Amino acid sequence: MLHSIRRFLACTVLAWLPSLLAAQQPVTISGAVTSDAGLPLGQTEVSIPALGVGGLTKDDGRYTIVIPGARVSGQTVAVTARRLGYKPMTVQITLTPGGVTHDFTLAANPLQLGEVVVTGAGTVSAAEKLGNVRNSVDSSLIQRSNEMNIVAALAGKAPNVEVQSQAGDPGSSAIIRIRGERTLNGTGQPLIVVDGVPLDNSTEATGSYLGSTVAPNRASDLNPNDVATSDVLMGAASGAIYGARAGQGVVLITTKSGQPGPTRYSLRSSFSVDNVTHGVPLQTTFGQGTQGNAAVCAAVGCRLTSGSWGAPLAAGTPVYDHFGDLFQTGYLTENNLTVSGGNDRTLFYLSGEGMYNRGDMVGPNNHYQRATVRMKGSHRVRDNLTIGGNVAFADTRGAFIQKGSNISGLLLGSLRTPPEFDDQNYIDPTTGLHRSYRYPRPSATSQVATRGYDNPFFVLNRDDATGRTGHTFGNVNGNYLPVSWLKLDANVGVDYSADERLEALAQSSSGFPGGQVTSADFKRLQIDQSLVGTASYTLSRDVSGTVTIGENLNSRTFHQIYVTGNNLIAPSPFKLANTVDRSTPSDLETDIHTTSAFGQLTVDVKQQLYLTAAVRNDGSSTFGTSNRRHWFPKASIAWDFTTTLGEGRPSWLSYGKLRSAYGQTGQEPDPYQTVATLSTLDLGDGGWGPSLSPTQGGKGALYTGGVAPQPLIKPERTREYEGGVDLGLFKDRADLHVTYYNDKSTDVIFQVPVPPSTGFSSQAQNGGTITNIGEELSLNVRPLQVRDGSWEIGVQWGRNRNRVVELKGAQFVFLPGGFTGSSAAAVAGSQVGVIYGTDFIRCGLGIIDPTEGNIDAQCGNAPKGSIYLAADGLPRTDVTNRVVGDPHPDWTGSVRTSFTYKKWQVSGLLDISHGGQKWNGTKGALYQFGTHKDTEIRGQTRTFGKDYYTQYTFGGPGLGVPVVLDQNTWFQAEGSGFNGPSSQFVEGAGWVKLREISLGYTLDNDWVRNTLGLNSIDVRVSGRNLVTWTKYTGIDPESTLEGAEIGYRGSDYFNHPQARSFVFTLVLNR
Amino acid sequence: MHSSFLRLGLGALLALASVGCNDYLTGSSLSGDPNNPTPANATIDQLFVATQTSLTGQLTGELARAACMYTQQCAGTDRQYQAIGTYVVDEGTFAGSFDRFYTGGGLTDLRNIQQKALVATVPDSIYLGVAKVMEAYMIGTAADLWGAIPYSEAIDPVNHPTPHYDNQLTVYAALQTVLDDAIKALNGSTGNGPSSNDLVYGGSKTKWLQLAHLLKARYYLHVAEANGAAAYTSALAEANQGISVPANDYRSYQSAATTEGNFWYQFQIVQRDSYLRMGKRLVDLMKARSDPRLAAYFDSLPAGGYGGANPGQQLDPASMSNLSGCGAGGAGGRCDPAFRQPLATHAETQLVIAEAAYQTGDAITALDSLNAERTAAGLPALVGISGTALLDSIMTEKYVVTFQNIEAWSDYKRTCTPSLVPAAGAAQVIGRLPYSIDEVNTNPNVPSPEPARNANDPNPCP
Repeated sequence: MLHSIRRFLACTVLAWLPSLLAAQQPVTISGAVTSDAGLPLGQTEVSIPALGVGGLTKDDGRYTIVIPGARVSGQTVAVTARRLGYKPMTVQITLTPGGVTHDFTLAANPLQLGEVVVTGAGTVSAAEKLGNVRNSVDSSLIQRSNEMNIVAALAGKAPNVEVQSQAGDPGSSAIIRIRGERTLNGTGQPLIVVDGVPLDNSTEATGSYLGSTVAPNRASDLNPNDVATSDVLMGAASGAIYGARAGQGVVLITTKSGQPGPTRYSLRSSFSVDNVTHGVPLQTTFGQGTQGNAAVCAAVGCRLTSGSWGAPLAAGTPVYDHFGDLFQTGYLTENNLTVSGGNDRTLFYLSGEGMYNRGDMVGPNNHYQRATVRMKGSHRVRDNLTIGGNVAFADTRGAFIQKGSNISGLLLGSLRTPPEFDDQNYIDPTTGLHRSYRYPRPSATSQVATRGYDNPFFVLNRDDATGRTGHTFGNVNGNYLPVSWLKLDANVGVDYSADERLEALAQSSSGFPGGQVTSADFKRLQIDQSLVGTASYTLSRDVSGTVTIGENLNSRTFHQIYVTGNNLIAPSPFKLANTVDRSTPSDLETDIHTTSAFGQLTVDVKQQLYLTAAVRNDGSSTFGTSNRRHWFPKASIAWDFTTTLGEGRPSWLSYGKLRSAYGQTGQEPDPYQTVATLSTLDLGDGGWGPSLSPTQGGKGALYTGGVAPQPLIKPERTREYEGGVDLGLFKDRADLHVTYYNDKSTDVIFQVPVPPSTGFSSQAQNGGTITNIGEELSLNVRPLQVRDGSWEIGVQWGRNRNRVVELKGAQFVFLPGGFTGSSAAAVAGSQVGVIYGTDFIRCGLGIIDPTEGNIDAQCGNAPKGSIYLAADGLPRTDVTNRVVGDPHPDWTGSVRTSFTYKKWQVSGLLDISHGGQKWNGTKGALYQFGTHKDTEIRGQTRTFGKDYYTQYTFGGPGLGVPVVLDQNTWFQAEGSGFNGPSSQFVEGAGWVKLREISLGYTLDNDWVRNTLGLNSIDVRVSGRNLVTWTKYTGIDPESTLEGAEIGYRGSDYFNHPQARSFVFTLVLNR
Repeated sequence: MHSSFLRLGLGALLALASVGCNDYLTGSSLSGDPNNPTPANATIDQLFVATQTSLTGQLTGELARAACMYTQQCAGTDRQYQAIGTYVVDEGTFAGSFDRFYTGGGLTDLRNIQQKALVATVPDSIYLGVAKVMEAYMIGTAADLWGAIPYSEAIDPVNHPTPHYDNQLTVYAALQTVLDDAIKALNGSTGNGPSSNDLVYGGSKTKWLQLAHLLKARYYLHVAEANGAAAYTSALAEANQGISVPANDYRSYQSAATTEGNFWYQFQIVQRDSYLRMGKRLVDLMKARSDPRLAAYFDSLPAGGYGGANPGQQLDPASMSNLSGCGAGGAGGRCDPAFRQPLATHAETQLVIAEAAYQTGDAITALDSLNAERTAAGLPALVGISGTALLDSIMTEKYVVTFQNIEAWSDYKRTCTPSLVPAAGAAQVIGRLPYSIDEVNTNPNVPSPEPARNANDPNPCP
């Protein structure tokens, strides 16, 4: 034994001697990297992980690595060549003095076969073994979108993944929906998981979602530059691994990690200039007044009529642009620095980002900023034990402007202002007080009197709505291989956010003339722990696979304290201590714990047939006691039939996989449904606004809550069948993916309304059934791949048909969102979240109207669905509510192209949403007020169906009868958004948007490398949301009033506009 | 070897997952709602304050505004209120208020109070009586506005998940019994009743008894058109025990605190300042007789004097008065947030006596009672008036006294005084409110189609 040790030592010393002699000389490794088609591959990383050295190939595919003499000792090292879209290759090279040459040939791999794909809950798979459709978005696509919000960056990136930004305001939320809504509770948005830990993506509005301001979704605190890939688990078949939280799909985000090799630095700076895209057409012909009489302010303190139905303005009267005057050019700057690297034992990734967005609204109160840092690292402690950690912190701050149905809202006041009133002089020169078009000469003592509607410039300059959030999220993980076929992964993650809001209205605001201060704190804490063991087995040469078992514990806490103080004592500061009295505060907390266990079995047969079966068992504190635990199974098959066909496959088919999957996921109920409660909430007045707190005169009060308890509540369940095919065509010049799916969601929870005469208004029931059936297609073609350039074009298309099959106990259920007369509802037989409201009386529906009598009898030969015209030639409103519109698109899709030539890159992305409708409530309101351009025809004669409302057909006794359309007969009667039916303002809201178009150039010549010491500089000029093609006449078909806190997309009521940007980006790489 | 290891591992993990993990799912803020009190926590006093506030809201909110518009004491002058004022209403318009008569703060909690009063260690007959009076007040108002309503089968979700609607006259008869029980309970002497928790009457037995008698009188009047003259006799007997002095008026509790402000103030100033103005019919009527209450009721116009709007007219601040005190932002007058709304008054009692006496042939008592009320209001006493002119004077005076009170609409439907011109496009003044859409959507026993008039109002006014 000693003898052999000595011999060993001797050998090694002797072996070292020649290397010691040669130790001083550096070794150069060089060569060329080409693809298997013979083309040189630039931008390929060639590195030696063990030594921490490496480099990128240049355009001609050549690379050079120099190893310093001190590190050379004649050893053999592993050299890896790696490039996205190609299979990596590792060779062993001995470092002999002088030089070593080695050329690499990398096989193209556009379908990323062999790449490890994260499939959730600690499991991974190889891309070719997946039984589900794979939608993966990589970091370059995310960065090229120029979106600061990671959710907005996913727009147009995967079929049937619909993303809409709420508005162009800095810090506004974005809503993401995958394959349609499968629930009536909640916003229908997917679970977001970052590095295995769920990330909170909630959105809280400070005030009512119909007014107040935009609010960011919490996932927008994530720095998009940190994201390596986003994998989307589309439905139950793939998401089953997340059980009761995956009902709406899952977005799995993996952040960037260090790579073994040289330390990499990257500084990315971008600057963008933002403008408003589209406004609302206003008339400039008629002034303030009513019945054709101009409003006259006789004395100080006069209150004037709110409409613009006065006399025509005299020629030469100055008129103002009440939309354009509110906006200016905004800008955004973002700087992101990342440092990453490592060797074969340790990897690290550091990033820091600072972003400031000054919005496009005039005034100092329209901006949003974010600062984030991230530290991620891992270390291989022993050969079979690796530990790692990942922590990010984000500080976001913003100032927002009031929107929507809000008499202190920006556009509500501005667009109703008559054309001749100058809003910019919002302070009266004599009294120094707020003036508006309804109160143009404020009296000196009117500090606490309402202005009717706030002057928009008062809103922009004097009101305050701010938010400040600190958001920390991260995890500690480890993996251990006790034996070669068993891997254990442990992960503990935390997500904590503290969000402080202030929303204040200054004195002399319209709704709250004494002023108002709302202070809200939202805190969320999530702790997630999982332990997963994966064992690989091999039964024979042809059959192998894995067995995975895991467990997960999760705890989520939410605490909200919300206090509104009324009537400021002094005009400032905006603090609760400076208010006369406070409304009953809201102090709300929810606590949810879940425990789960899951297991998965995969079987790989002959490297052609891949079977997966898995099951998850979830228990949650939100389930009723008798329904505590539930099972969610899943199974899938993937068959690589081209391998089976072998040489018999057609020459144009390079790869083909058939896949079929089945899975069940769930949706948790909201907490505390099983208990009866009393309420202390204010008692309202039929929804008109006034309210009384039940506690009066200092005497505390309680009353029975309207919701009857439901002790039997259980989770909702979606079961999905999905099938499809992935094809690689023409030697991987093209790839095609087609998927079909059929979902059925049962036990859907909704508050079943019960007759209020029983003493309760509703009770939660698992009584709904919803189906979602659809298809997805994605085709990528690479027609041009030559030495100097390439061209790639990709088309995606998706369609989802949602249907509320049944609502046990009700014909329809109101959902949050919309207004009386055009509410969001789920109606049996329609899609979830249709527009439910008032319509004109129509022929052919069997209507007997209390005033007009038997409609059908008077319609004559008019086709069914024609609008009935009464004898005076005008239509009438039907007393019965019905479905009047549907915001869901018929289909969505995107077209992407990118073209490279030498060092130039050109790319573009078109995002298409076809079909779908929106209620243009802004237009309806502006008809009432006489400020919309369409009201310029007042006093003129029209005939319905002939030269007015020609998009409809008409019938009834008034057919062909001309009418004079004016304030009293039409624009404040049936033609008004308030007094007439809302269906006339429901418009088609389909759109095609040019999301991105960019031109880039990479500088990596010797001057850059030698003088600046950088590897390359990327320069890019791009446009974001430059053009929108749509027939919608409102502010933007993509804007939503309610935002991601509600998820309903049908309302446009003084929404804020969207923005477009021109972006200049500079990236310095080392 | 490998497989047994696997089996062991699998078993261990599953065991770990199931044993003790269910404990992780239960606990104080997990199983119970940490945000709201549970029924065990509520005391009878707390429930009472909530029901009294709810009653105030019901009688001073959208239902009062509707009655005001339909009797043309008010007019809707902007947007939805222009439509509502011209009888364009549907099942959604007043749904919230209908529901509120039954759900939390309404009948369900009044029954809870009565239950708690009975099972208390010392049964509290005062509380029982007070809760029954409030029950009669609430349900009587609902019956007045909607006609047939659920009552005998209401608030019993287990046995009657879809309550039948009782005929309106049956409901009124049942309420007379409830009020009799209330009177009996109030005359008992066990228990303390609400005492200082009662912000309107301070827990005074006398005042509640007088209110109970006035309500009985009212409900006899409500059925007089359908049931005939005998109702007037009963009404007279009860009204004589009604509210005896203005100090005993039932006036809602209000204060200047934001969530305690009078609903008329909140609607006219804070929320919807252009939607409602005073009605031309009432304003002109009071101007014609130089009524001393003009300034107390209405704001003068910018150019001086008073004016009102007809149903359906768009707001014109130059010719339409607002509620008194609104122009000053709700300071003083009826627009003040602290204005305590008169809901059942001595003045009304006097006029009920006057009308009932007239209808039972005692014109002398009728005239005396009318003059007593007129004098107190600052109007000259009437002499030498009799017959239908006397009735007309009584009902006209009651029209002025019941300004902003739902009772005015019932009086109009019953007596057609004063004469009203219906809103443009309608043949008659609207007879009742449409049922709640929440009931229509869930209860197959809602009468369908909606009747145009209530059972107690068979004859429309000309």
